Amino acid sequence: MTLTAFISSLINEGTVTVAPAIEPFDPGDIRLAGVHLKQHYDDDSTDMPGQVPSYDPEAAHWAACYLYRAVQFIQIRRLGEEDIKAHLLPFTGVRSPSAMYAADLTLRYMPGLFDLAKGLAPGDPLVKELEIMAAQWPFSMAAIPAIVPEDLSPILQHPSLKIAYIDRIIQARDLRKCRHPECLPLVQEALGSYAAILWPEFEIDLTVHI
Amino acid sequence: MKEMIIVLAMADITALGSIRTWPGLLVAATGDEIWVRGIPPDATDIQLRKLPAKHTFLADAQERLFLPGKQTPHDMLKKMSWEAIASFITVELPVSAMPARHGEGYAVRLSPTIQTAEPFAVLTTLEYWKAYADTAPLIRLQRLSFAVCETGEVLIIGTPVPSMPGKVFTLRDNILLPAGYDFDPPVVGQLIANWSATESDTLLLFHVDGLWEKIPGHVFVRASRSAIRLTNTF
Repeated sequence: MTLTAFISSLINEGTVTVAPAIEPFDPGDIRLAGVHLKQHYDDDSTDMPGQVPSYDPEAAHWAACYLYRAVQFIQIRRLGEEDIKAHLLPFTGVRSPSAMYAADLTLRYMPGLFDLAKGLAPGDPLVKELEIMAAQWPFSMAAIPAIVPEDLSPILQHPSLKIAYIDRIIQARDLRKCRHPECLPLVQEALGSYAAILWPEFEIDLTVHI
Repeated sequence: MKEMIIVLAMADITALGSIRTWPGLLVAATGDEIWVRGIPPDATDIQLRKLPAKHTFLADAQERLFLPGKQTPHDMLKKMSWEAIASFITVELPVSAMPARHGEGYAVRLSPTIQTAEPFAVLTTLEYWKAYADTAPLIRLQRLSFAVCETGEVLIIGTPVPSMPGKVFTLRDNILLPAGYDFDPPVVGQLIANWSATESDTLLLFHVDGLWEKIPGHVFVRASRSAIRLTNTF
């Protein structure tokens, strides 16, 4: 399956198929995948709060390729740690708000990937690599309780990402992330005086921990 | 002879009803008499013969009047103001002996109440709604639905009601009442609820002045940022 078809299927159907071997993506495929990602950025922006960060095509492309390769490594178990290090390369650009949001267009599907990786041993090199990467992209990992974010500043310094991140951790009912010192006031602001209606457990939990 | 002319007493005017639909008849009133002309000279219709005519004449083209069977004229037709029989005798609907009485319309009134109720809806503008949704927490938006009318007014339903400029309403039995108001007397609300119970998802929105609007459930859209942003009125 091409990268373009992978992205299209992921976005539209939530299912993916990958090639049985790791091979470089065709230049034409990469160009067309870029068009799909930009279109998805435009569509997704309408559901984001406020003014979204500008589009970062490099981050969007990196994340799509990373996810594709990660799925391949879960499917093709004969590949070793060297292959993982050679193909699951970290993002080399700045993890700016623009990069966070562009990468999120595909990295937001990482929770599904972690579900796929559940069958692997905790010490598996792939699991370790995914956990390292996930900690660096907290905006996309809001729905994974086990992922502890390294640095929330790229998210919280941008008004749109900040609201969207708070939305996500509330949506995930993740009490630990909501109690984060930088997030707690924002969560309380979002719930206002209706916490008992919107999220009764949150109000009870605060009573216990304060 | 050109035509037949009959003369009736004014008191017998209602008798003309039997020939009111005859074509070409003209009628003139003079003193206590009614003159009818335009009758075919050889007409022998029973309805004509039953009329209580005081006089019957035959008139020629020079408008000389002849008594039936006479060869010499009896008189000349006087100048009169003629009009069509259909407009001279207007139709009146029959009156029933014991007509039913129309029930008098009841004007629904609302008045301030001391009863409190949780707000359930807000009527605002699309501009305010878009501004709110732009940065509103998703957990609040997800509990709301909205309907927009052509004028740009937006009715938002769901709790908690978003804080924004607009008119707030409470909900009772599918009736939206302005916050702080109730029907006067309150029992009217129960009557309206019973009357409108046919469609369970339809809301009746009452204004303070008693005017109301019927809002079907299918016009509401679940609130999301994209749904709100992509809503426009033309």
